[in-house]
Amino acid sequence: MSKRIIISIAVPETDESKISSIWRELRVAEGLPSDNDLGAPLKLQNFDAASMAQWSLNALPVVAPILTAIFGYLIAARGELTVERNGEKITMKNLRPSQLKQLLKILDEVQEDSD
Amino acid sequence: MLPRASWKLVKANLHRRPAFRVTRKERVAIRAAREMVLRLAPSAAERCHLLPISSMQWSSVTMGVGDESIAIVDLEQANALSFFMARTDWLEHPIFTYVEFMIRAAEVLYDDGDLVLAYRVAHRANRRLQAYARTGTMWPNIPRPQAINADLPRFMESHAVLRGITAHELAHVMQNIGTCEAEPIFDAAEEAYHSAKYEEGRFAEGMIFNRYSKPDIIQKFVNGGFYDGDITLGVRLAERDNEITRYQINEVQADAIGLIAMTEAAASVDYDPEKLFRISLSNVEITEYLVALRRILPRLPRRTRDGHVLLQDSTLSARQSTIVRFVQILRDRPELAPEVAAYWSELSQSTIDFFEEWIANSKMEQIARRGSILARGGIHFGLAGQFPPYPDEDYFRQMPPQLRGDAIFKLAHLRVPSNFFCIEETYNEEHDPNSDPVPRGFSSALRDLADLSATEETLPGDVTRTAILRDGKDARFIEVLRSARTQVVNREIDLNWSAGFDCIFSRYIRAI
Repeated sequence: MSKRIIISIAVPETDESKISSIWRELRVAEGLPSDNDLGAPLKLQNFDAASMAQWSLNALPVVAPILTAIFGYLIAARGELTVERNGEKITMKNLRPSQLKQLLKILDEVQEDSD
Repeated sequence: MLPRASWKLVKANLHRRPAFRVTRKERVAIRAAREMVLRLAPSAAERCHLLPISSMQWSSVTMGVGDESIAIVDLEQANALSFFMARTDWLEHPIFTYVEFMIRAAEVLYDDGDLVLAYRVAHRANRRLQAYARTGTMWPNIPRPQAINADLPRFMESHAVLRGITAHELAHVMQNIGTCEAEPIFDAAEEAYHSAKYEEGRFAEGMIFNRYSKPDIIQKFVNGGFYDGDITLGVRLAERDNEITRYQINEVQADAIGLIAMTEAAASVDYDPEKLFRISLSNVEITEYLVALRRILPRLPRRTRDGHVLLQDSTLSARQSTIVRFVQILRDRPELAPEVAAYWSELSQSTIDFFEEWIANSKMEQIARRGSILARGGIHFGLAGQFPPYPDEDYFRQMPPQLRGDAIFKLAHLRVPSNFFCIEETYNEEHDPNSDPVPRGFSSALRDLADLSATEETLPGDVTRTAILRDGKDARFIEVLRSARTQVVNREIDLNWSAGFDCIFSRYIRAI
């Protein structure tokens, strides 16, 4: 069974370019090559409202620090985070700073899986 | 057919658990809606993709990348809408809509990985249903009086609701990719929207009264759920006015297209235009309750009764007023949508005039607001357990007029009778011909959901799906989450509804 873990982050469409550029700054600060940038987002319009911009990434260890660092912005932008692994899915919709622990736990497991 | 690249995109990004299968009849209905839309806008056919699914999030979504757009129509959204529509039409008791809202919440929670809370929600719904059944005389039979009329099954057979939702989502796709041919209808919808938006001739120091939007409101609870007042985000409303207007216009334009599709379906089974008109208005209201449920669920305080809960106003006022005016336009300008003009010409003018009167005296707006008011009431009751006394007249009189309306709106839920939030108070009610079960089921469910969320100790992911698998599948557990609905359909309580899963979850359920 594939051990791939997919993490999706979503923010309101109006925040799309801001989060892309913050991600890029973090990526540069981490010294990673540009193919780790967020690409073009998916535009999602749910029947219950705001248009969201969503990116789905394979949760590789290189990406984990950037995800952690951008968590604060996701909270401020009222974004969402979904982790999918082996059919197990967790969606965090109303992000709060106290959920950082949860995210770190998930990313730790990502690290373990790849070791 | 969906292009391969789009399939990969959907699979990677949709993240949904399937609910039921899409049946052949449903596919036929969806295709009919798509054909109708493409007749209106033939050039969109190439870039306008449609994917029917059935998921536990019961919410349709439009996905777009670059130039392409996919309308993903969730049949469970249509099913939820049809279900509530049927309960309303047959004047049923609010316990049944309460149970349905609870089950819908449990499904979303489960899909989000929140297993314990999902189970506890199902558990609470079952307890309430059992208590209701006990007030009847034929336990374990569930008393379920219905005012049956034969039109409804015909309407359901035509899949009008599904076709309406499909057309609505495809209209969003057309908005995204930009097509010219649907412009006349989009323009007519926008015209209808603007025509009823402002209260004519009503000013207060230069302010114009907007019927369509109220500010976001944050409810505050502290020290174990004590009510600490509300914050009305009036300035934010002003800042976001353009954004909100654009969003509302998008919705009413899609509603217009959806209405045409629904009309075609209804016409095919000779469904009375008088009824379809009222159903269209009522369906938008039900949709807004479903929207509110989706929005509120993740925002309820967790593991505590304290917190700030933000509630946005609904778009109901805009949508209902626009539907009334748009139908008038369809009658006055039959060339706009010739296939349905004949149908709507049979609607009596007095019916439209009746609702026009409501628009003019703002009664339509007031009724449209009740969803937000009930939502805040349900949350407040669930967290604080009771309402504070309603302020006296002087409190409002001393405010400047611009603020008074918002203050009244903000506190309106404090005057709603408790049997709107405490479903247990309704069990012994006489069957009411004016019964409106959906709003009461909604607010009662929210009260329990707020309470359950506040007393939930676990976090999503603490109990994983592996714990509930049987034969490697979660089908049995999902059935358990939905079992209250099955019992309602069978009109019989099943005391064994938890099918053994209670062993896993009993430690999380406090005996009350």
